[in-house]
Amino acid sequence: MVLLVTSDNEQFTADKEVVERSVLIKNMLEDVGESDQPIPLPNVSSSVLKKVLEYCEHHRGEPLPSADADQNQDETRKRTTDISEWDQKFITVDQEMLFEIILAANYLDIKSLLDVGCKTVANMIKGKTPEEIRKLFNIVNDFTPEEEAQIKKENEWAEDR
Amino acid sequence: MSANQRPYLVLQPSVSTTKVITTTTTTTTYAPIPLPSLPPPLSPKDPKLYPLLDAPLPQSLRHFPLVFPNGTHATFRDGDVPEEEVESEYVGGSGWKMVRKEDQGENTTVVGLSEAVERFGKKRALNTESLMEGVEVTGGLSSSVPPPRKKARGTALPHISTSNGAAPPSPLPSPHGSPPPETIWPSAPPSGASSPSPQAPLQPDLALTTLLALPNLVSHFANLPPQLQSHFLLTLLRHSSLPVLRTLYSVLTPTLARDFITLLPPELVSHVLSYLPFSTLARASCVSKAWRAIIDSDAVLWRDLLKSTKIWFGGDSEDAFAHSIYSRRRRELMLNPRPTKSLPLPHPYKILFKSRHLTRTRWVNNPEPKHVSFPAHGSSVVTCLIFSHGRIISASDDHSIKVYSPATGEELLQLKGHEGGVWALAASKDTLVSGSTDRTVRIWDLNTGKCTHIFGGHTSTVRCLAIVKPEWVDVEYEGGIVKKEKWPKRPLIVTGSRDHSLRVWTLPREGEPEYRSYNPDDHESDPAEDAEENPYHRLHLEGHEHAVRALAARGRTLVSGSYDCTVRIWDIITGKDKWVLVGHTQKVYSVVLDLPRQQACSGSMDGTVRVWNLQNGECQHTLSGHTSLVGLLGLSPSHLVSAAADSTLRIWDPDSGELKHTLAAHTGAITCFQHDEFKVLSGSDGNLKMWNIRDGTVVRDLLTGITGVWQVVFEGRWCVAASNRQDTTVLDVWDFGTDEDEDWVGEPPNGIYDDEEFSDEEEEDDEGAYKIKRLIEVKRDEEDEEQEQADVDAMDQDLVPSESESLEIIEMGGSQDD
Repeated sequence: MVLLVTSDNEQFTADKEVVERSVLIKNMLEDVGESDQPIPLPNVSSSVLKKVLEYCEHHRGEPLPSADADQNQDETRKRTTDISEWDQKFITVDQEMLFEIILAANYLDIKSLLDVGCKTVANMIKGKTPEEIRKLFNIVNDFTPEEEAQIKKENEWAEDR
Repeated sequence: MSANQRPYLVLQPSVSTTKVITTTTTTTTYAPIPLPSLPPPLSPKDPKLYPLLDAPLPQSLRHFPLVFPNGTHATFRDGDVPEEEVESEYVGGSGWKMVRKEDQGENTTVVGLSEAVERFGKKRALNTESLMEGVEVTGGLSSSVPPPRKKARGTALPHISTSNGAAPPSPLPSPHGSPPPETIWPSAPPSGASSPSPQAPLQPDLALTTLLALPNLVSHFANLPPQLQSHFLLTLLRHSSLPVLRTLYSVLTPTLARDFITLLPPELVSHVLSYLPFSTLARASCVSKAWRAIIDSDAVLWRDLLKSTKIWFGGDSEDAFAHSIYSRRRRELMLNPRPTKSLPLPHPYKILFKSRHLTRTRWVNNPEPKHVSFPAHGSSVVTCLIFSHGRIISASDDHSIKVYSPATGEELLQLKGHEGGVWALAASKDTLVSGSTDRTVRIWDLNTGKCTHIFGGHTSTVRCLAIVKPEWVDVEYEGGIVKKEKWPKRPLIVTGSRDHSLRVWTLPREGEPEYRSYNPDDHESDPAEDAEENPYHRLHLEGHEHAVRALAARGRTLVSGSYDCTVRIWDIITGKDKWVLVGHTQKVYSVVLDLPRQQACSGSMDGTVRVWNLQNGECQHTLSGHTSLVGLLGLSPSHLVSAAADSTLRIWDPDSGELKHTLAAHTGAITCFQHDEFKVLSGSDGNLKMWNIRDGTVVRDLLTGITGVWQVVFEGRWCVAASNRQDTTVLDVWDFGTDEDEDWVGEPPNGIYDDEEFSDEEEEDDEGAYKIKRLIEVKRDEEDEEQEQADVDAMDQDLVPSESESLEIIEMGGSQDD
């Protein structure tokens, strides 16, 4: 069992196999060796770590992507934003939580969770008009009317017709 | 809600219509009823934990109408509603206030408040038009009642139950109306309705009691443990209708929203964007300045999109495009400095993606491109056709060169001077170079149509020519050291002639002295001598044993194809012939140069195309299949196309020499063609066809039923063809762009851009520059003398350098090199 301490000083214990979904923790454990020392996670709050551990638990035992495979994947990155059913359900959270999960997945180096998070954001943007995107993410349109017209014209070519 | 403004209720003015003999309409206004303020948070709260604490309530919840059981209309207002947001004008200051009748027009039930009418009498009743006064009067008249205005200004919580019972005109309800909040809600229904005061303009009811109880409720709620808070709220939500939930959602959602694209670290933003198709990205870049800056400047994002969309051509095509865009921007910036506040410009790769996307889709999907058709050159053969900087330039064997507007077909210029058919043409910006059967090379100013230079030297027809622009190329030194260098130092002209030779000239720059060979008409003089005296002449390349039919040049490499069946590779700076490529068994008619692959290709009358290695001079592939003369060759980053007299075109892989497709739908010899990475346009007897280069199928026929196609060129959105229709020469221009495609930046099909400015400094070490400078000095001297005949004589003397002078110039050039 591994002891984790969150930014808000909550403690979690988890199976090694579960926490090793995180390459960061895996490397830490390898460096430190077997130890009862708690691992501090100053960038992750307890509410987020709860979600992250839930994810790691579900995906325990699955093969980790190797560094090489990662490279290859980037080369011919498939632009699919398909997310498995369980992950889809898991990631159905408010934007604030999604934001924190992405940051945590990046910090903890959990590639598959990072992918799920980023795909989810991409899916939120897909198929929306600029106004719908602004509304969804609470963004202020800071273009002047002239600029907006110019930008719109500049991007009209991409509209499906 | 702001701290210093309390919510209040505004009662609609009550209107009483009494019909006796005359009709008297009485309107009574009431000052607003102040409602208790909500208590401030007990302790300072972390806005991260309480994100809604300072969130503004939506307008609809800060200002909405209420109807009381007796039909009285009132308006709930939370103090800080800006006046302009409120639809109608309200009268009165603080205290009671009435809603004007017209504002509530659709509320048909207007209940008269007879009591109020009696008290205020007719005097006030006339004040329907000046309600502001009415309010003031209210305060003044009702001396028996605490003035509502003063009340409104009262400090702290004006406990509603302290108001004076049922005494009109105060519309405040009786004390029964405000039982202690604890007992009203949510468990117990308000009891206020049970004992309405007949005089009160409004009856205490659920709405009012709730409003009055809210402060206590909030302080209670704040002290509850989180779980109970959630439980309590969820219980309320269960009993909320859809519109209420929707309102709640609209308040809650923006608070939990995160602008991922601006808040996430850049590498994660790239990760998110990498999942988006270009159509979404184009829309997303319209969201805000920050989004546009992030999306449009992400070179990796657009590079990956180009790759995944299979429109990344490789070679140096992408770099060249980006380079051209930057050159263009520098020039535009010099001409017209951008205001500092203007939007940042997109990365060239985004513009390139757009260009290629349009090139791929518009040519295929635009069924009705704009089409202009007009006669040109009478019935003569169009020997050359180029499309350059918005000009159509055509040359003919009728000795003339003409410039047309692509949009209107208007003839802009006629360039007259050649005394024979014009068979070779090249343009760079506003300079045109032509070669003719009259053995001269002429330089023209495309703005004025003036012939500025006539270069003599070739002793027979100038059959082919090219402008070579400076570009970064690999130069190999001894020991296999390869350096990136820019060659040539300034744009050059290379010409090939039926006299078996090639010549290299300096391309005159705008403002440089004009030069005309002495006597182009004098066929007795020795043109070779003429060239020696020409300061723009650089090299005479001799070696071919028969006419030079085709050439191609880039950097410092020139490839020439000759009727002597050989292909030669030259260094146009030193004049050295690097390779004589022997293999073809018949005349060579066409050549292309493939610098990125370090190879050259040639097409011959022997029916083959040969691919030559520039580094070892070996023939790497012999592409066979054509059954007769391969007269035309073209190269794009990943396709080599050959066209033959056997009526077919063949598409080859320039790396492997593999035949990809044979385009066999024409019925006669292919007379002209051009291609890019998407399409091939080819002309032959009777029609002009467009082919899909990737699968070799016919996309459509652009022209049918004509006698023949002389020439075809295209770039970006434009396509121009010169054809023969029943012995009339006609130019056709198609514009495949739509109205949205205004800034569609095309790629030149040969991959050579014409956007760069070449600075003077770069040529300082250049020998040719000295000669031209000498000419400038000579010209200046001439102007001083102001004698035309003397000028010519002076030129004769000064321009014939003695042997020693020539050496001196070369030495000076050499020392500069060091």
